[in-house]
Formats: sequence, structure tokens, C-alpha cells
Amino acid sequence: MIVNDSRRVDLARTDPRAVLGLLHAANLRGHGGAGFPTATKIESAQGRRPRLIVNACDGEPLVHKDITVLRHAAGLLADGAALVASMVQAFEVVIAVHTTAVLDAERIAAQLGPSARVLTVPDRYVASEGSALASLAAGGRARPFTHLLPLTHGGLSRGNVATLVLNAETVARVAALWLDAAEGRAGSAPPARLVTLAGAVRRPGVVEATVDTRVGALVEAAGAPTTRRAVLVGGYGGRWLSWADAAPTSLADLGPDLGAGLIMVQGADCPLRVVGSILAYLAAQSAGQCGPCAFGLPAIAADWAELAHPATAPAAHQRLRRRLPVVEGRGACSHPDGAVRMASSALAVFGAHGRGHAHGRCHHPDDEATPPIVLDHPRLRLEPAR
Amino acid sequence: MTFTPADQPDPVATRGKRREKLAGRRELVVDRIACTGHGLCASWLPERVRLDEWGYPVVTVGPVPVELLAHARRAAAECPVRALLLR
Repeated sequence: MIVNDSRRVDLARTDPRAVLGLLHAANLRGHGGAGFPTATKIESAQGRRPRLIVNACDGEPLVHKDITVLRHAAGLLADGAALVASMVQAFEVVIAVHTTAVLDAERIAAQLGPSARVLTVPDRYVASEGSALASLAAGGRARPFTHLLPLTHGGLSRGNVATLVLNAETVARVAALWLDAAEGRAGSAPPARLVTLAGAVRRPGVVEATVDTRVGALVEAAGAPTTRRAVLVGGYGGRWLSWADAAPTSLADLGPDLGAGLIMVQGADCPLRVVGSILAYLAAQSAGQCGPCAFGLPAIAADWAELAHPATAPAAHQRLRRRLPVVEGRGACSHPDGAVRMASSALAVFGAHGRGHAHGRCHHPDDEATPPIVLDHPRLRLEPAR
Repeated sequence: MTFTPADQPDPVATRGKRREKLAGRRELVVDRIACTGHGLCASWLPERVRLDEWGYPVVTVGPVPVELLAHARRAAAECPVRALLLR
């Protein structure tokens, strides 16, 4: 547990090799969304004197875990950043945040000393993607760039600076793992994750839960709605699971699908409209650099909107089946892949509801109203560690 | 932080033993940001590249067969924006 953990790392007494061994043993994977093994990433940056970027952007609109780390695990975050920086001999530490968290980030940077700075990232979905951050930190645009080599190797151009991008929660957990091991408690408790509950729950917010916790228990604790159709896990580019499938599944069983830790509950609202809103948002947030994403996502969002009407639904469904696999994997970043994953899983989970639409059978009182984009952030709420 | 193909060792210029060794392991990669959908690649190498409905290349995954390597090299060289790479 990292939230409200006030322990501090004695940096003079850490051993970088031992830390790396701990990360391997704990199989710590990045908590930013991609789930890449952290130890492997750090190793690939060693000997390259990289720029270390701590990504505390909460790039997922509904997710509030990075700000939770900045405010409630600040000591561990600062110590974790110092620890990783010493492991890779980083020439500077950059704390990347959106404008709302600049002051919190400044406090962390002040603890880290003169080689640390705060980077304010534009409030766009893809601006906090790893390569976009690397570009922005190096004085370029906050847009993803084509990197055929890992960012820790400089991406592509030889003039590029080697960049190690780690999520804020991941960095704080590195410090916590070291402290646990120093106290002889390594591996004594199951690892924990910060999860943001959103959607139709009565008390949305961030909770820290051990990975053996079941999705159903988390949703119940946050005040589950009476009608629970499904949950979206990971983020807007995540995966829909039916409530029956999701409820008994533990966070560990979700594996990489847990992404940035979002659990959004779909209640009684028409799921086609919610998915449509998210697709429209993702299409609008494309950086517009890669053709398949710039043209494909708006096309997919338009197809989806046509699913709701009996006359247009069958043709729209066919187009979606054709277009979704064509767009996947064809961007410089994984933005289109996430949109495709979300839409494909929604087709599978909400198929019956969609067929009801095709026969004119979706009776939601506000069906005629313009679907609201689900972007209002949940209030920040912390539960005591369980 | 823009993509500069000139910084990379030119695969076409790589001769001799290295080329022998790599034959059969070369893959076509598209720089999706540089690509502006001219579509020449699909004309030079229809065996491995088709165009989607918006005119952007869909490249067959996997190593390019040795007998197609010459065509693949030509397709990469003919790309007006050097977005098709043979690696």
C-alpha cells in the first residue's frame, strides 16, 4: 500500500542491483496502461544516461490515480524517482503533469533537487503517451512520434535523447518494494493497485486494493447501482466485460486489461450511447498524424452512431466488422488500437442490446437527448487501506 | 524530434555478407506519421501491400520472401516521403 505511507527511503543505503532484483522478483509491471515489465525497461536504459520522465498526467480522463500518488504518496514518489534516477544515472528527472497538478508536482521536484523539473503537458488524450512526453520534454511537440527503437534507446533518430518514461504509481511502488524488502517483508502481502471507480457507482473515486480483490467487491464498496450491465476496465481504450464475467474476476486475473486502473460501471443507461460518446471523444483526440487513425476513428465513431437506428444498423454493423480489424495496429502510437479494443469488446458484450435497437426496442427516457460525453471527473475520494 | 530516415543506415546501401544474412528476415515497416497515402507502394509491391479505403497501406506482417526483396527495395525507394522502410 502506498497511499498515506509516510516511510522514506534512505537513499545513501540503497543498492541499485538489489532494487533491480526486487523488481524482477516482484514482477512489477508499469501501471500506466501498457503493463510493460518495469525492471526490463530500467535495464534497457542503464548505461545510456537517459532523461527520466515520471508520468503523472492521468491521461485517462476518468482516472485520478496519478494525482492521488502526487498528493498522498508524495514521499514514496520522490524517493522512487530518486532511486530509479540513480539506477540509470539519469541526467534529469522530469515530472509530467497537466496544469491542475503543477503545484503538487513542484513539491516533488523541490525534494529531488536542481536536476528535477516539472513539465506541463497539454490537456489532450495522446499528449501524455510515452513518445509524446519524450518529444515535449526534449523541446518538441506533445505528439507521439514513430519510434522503431525503444524510447530508452532514443526512439529512432540517433540525435534523440534516451528517455525512460515511467508512470507515477509505478515509481512510488518501486520505493515501497525497496522499503518492504529492507524491513524483511518482501512479498509478504499481495501487491496493490490504485483503481478508479467511475460511471454508475454512487461514490466514484480512487481506492487502493490488493490484486486479489474482486471487481464485484470493489464496485459494491463504491455503491453499486441496481442495474449493472457491464464494466469498462482499463480506460477509454480498455475492454468491456459483462457484469457476470467481471464481478468474480480479481484485479490480478484482469492482468494487462486493468490498464490505467479504471473500472467504469455501466448501469441502466443505453450502452450504445455511452460507447458512442467514448468513440467520438477518442476520434476527436487523435493527433491526426497517422491516416488510419485520423480517418479510421471518425469513420468508426460514425458507424457506431448509426447502430442505434433500425434502418441503418445492419449496414453500420457490417462496416464496423470490416473496419475495426483494418485500423488496429496501424498508428505510430496505440491510440487507434485502444479505440478498436473498446469498440470490439462493446460489440461482443452489448450485442443483444444492439439487436434490440435494430428492432426499435431501446426504451430509455432520454433517448432523444444528445448523449452526454462522459468526461466529468469523479471527485477525489480516498478509502482507508483495506 | 521528427522522423529523419537519413539518420538510419540505408538498407539499400547495405551490401555483401550482411545482406546475405538478412535476406529472408527483412520486414516492411511503415512510418505511419510520415505516410501521406500516395499509394505507390501498393503498385510496386501488390503481393505485400494493399490500400485501405482511405488510401493508406496495409502491409502483410512477417518477413518479405527472398524472391520479392528486389521489388520491396524498389517500393521503399520509390516512396515519395520515404515512409516505407525495409528493415
